[in-house]
Amino acid sequence: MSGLEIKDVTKKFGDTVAVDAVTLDIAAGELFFLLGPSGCGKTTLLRMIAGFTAPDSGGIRFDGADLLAVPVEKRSIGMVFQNYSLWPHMTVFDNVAYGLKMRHAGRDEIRRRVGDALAMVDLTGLEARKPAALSGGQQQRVALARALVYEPRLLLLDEPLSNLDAKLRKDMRSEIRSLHKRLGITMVYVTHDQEEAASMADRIALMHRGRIVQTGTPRQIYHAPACRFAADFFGRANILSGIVRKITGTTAEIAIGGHTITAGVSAAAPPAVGTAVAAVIRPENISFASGSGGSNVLAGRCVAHEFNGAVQNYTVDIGGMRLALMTVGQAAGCSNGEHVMVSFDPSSVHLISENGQI
Amino acid sequence: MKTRGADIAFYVLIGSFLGVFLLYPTAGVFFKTFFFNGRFSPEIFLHTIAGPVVYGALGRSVLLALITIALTSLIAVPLALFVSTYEFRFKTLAAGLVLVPMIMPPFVGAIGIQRIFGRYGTLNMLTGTAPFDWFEHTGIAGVAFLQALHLFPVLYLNVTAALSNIDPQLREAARVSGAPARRVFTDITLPLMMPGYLSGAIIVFLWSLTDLGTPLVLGYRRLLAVEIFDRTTAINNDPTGPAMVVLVMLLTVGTMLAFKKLFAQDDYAMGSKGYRSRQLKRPSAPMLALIYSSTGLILALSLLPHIGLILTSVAQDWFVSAFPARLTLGFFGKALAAEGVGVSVRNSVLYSLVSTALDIVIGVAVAWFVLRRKIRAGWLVDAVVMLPLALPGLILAFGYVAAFSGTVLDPLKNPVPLLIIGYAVRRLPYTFRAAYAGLQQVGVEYEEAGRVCGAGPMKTVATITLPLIAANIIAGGILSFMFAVLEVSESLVLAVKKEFFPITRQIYAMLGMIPDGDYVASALGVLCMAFLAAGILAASALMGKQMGKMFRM
Repeated sequence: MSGLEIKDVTKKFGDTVAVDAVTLDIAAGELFFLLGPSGCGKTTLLRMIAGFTAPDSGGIRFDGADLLAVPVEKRSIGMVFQNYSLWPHMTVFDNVAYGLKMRHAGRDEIRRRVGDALAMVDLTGLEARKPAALSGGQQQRVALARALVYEPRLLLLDEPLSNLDAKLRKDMRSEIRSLHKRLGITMVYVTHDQEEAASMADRIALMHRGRIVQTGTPRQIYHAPACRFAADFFGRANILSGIVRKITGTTAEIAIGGHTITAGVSAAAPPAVGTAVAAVIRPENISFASGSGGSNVLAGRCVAHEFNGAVQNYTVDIGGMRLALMTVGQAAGCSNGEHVMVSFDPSSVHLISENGQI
Repeated sequence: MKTRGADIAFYVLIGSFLGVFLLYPTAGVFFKTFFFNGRFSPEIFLHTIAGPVVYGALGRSVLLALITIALTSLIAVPLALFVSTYEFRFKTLAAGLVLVPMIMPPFVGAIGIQRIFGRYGTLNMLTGTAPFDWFEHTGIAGVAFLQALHLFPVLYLNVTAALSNIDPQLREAARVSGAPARRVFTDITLPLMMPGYLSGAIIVFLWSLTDLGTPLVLGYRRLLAVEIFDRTTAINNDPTGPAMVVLVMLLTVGTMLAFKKLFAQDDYAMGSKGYRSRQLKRPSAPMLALIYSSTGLILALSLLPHIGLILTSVAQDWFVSAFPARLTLGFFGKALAAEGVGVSVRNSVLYSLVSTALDIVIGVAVAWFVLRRKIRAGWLVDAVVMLPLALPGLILAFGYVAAFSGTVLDPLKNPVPLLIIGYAVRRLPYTFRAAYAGLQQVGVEYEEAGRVCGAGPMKTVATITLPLIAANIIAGGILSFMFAVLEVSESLVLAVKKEFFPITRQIYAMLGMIPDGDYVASALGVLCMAFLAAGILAASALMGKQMGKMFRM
């Protein structure tokens, strides 16, 4: 199979297991994200792919060939570092040209390809500048040009946007995304920013404490998180602990504290009655209700309200159980202290087994 | 307005201190050189520097300094690369011992060297080459060799500091771009460590150029520093002496300015230092062997004079043999009991403590004003404060005699104030650089936070800044103190009466005393050395890799 295969890779630093038996298949041409909180092992994994750190066990293959047997400089990898790591003693041109020089490209070819690379990141005309004379955003682009100029088969990006301001970060997201579309190379992108991952990734591996807890498209992870950690880290969620009381066809009754809610389940593999589960309900799937009948209609009191422009966030206390909900635009809301009814569709409740899960 | 007043007070206080005790005495030398009977007459200067003696001596001195730089580089650069690249056993010990060669008690150091390299010294007796005179035959190379063994720590500290400042990701970025290890070194590491290397090399250059002790010990006299010594100590008040001093000073200032001009803008500020601490490699077996053998050889060679001195201090009988026939601790007892030793130890400690206190106050104040208040002409203040690093002690000492004789500070009446001030002026660079390095590391935000919370400027400095840079200040202070205790030129020239002798002057007085003066003086030198070695190890532990910044222009 072509692409990047990571098999059972483990890395320890002293007693700390930084990466714990990670296995991943990244398809050729994929924009793949390693997402997780700081210290989850994502950068260590990236550095093992690059070759700066050797795994204690396991294998890494690229396009079918064993990558671990190849020294860093022969792996034909491009890398963008978190703080860019542009060489301060070289000009923009020399920084970008370096990889081509190492590949013994001719002088004219170097000039042409550096020119192309700088044009690609919109920096034509800055060739003679030193990195210190560039803005953060420009440095970031030089780092991209430097990593792409020799047309690597694999591009690694280590939190490349974390040093940019919010506006620039959003612009760069779409630029990197369109570069990826245009060049079609495999990219492995490390970030702790779930919004960045959600908006850019083809697929995401969500990491926690050195392990991969879920792999999938952003939509899959958002709508069907595999564990409590995934639900909590990837987007906002109400996570309610309960017990399965009754199964009827494709619905399950879940007891949560003094309340009972109904959740949709798969008829093929429903959870067993009596299992402990976490019910995950995204805030945008809960709405204010007018009547009091039907399943999943609960009475409560509005305790917090936050205006966020296009959306509004509310917190409703339902007899000690707090639910976050979100409305869009001019939809009906509530003011603090007001008694309200809220409801949600059983199909929007996602159940996670709590047995042995995170 | 209040801060403006503080700025003016700073200018006046620091300006007058440096003006009166650094610039005025050295200006006296200029006056003597260019004025004759009250009239401007540059002929003496022009005549002196054009003369074949000076011309030859200048050429040899510059050649010597260049050879010394080459030798120190050969020793220091690989050592620094080993220490900052690899993890190996005894590394901490080696890194500490590397600094010890800088401590050599004056005068008796020569005895140690003679014991090892003399006609009937240990080296010749062990190899059966007696009575070969190593230094007679090696000439300028011998001087350079001994200077290199003494000075390589300065370069080592600078290069280590420069290497530790290189963000490891800069090297990784080159690896990932396809550069093999060799190219990473030549394309990234070498150019980035260059500014650090050069600022160490310039100090080695100036130190070698103005070093008097080593050529005197080896009897190689045809150098500028020796010529100056001979002429300024001559009874007939030879006017060519000051002229040569002016020549050396112009050379010093010229070299420093050229250095600043050429490399100042290339001192790459390496923004973020990366979020990972640098990872040290485990050396391969052949590399490990190379590390141990070369480090061992360097340490063994550079500590030979110290070993020779220690052996002398415990030698009962040592004639025409590789090692002493019998050992004794008796000379230490004699040294401690000898007349004048107690007084000289007390004097040295007193002078050095007070001068160090002055250095700390002035050094911290100047560093703070230059960095935090961003005063105008900060670069000039920086340069003037650092100037003593390259200023031969003899020049300042004779400058003091010329400038203050007949005033309240007349050294013939009571040399203590001038000795203390002289020590302070020449050791100021160490506390200044240490405080400067500390302030650069400690973000200004901490002080701003203090101000926001309601502390005044002085209160902020006292409660926030000083505690944060305490380690740097203490380390700089230890170095200032150590080199003050080891001071020779001012001690010899200014302390004429016995009651004012510092310890170096006392060691000098004990040499040649019948029957065992050399041995007793060696014992005193060893005690002095042990005391100072403890000091330098403490300073290095406190400063860590910052240590190099104290020997930086």
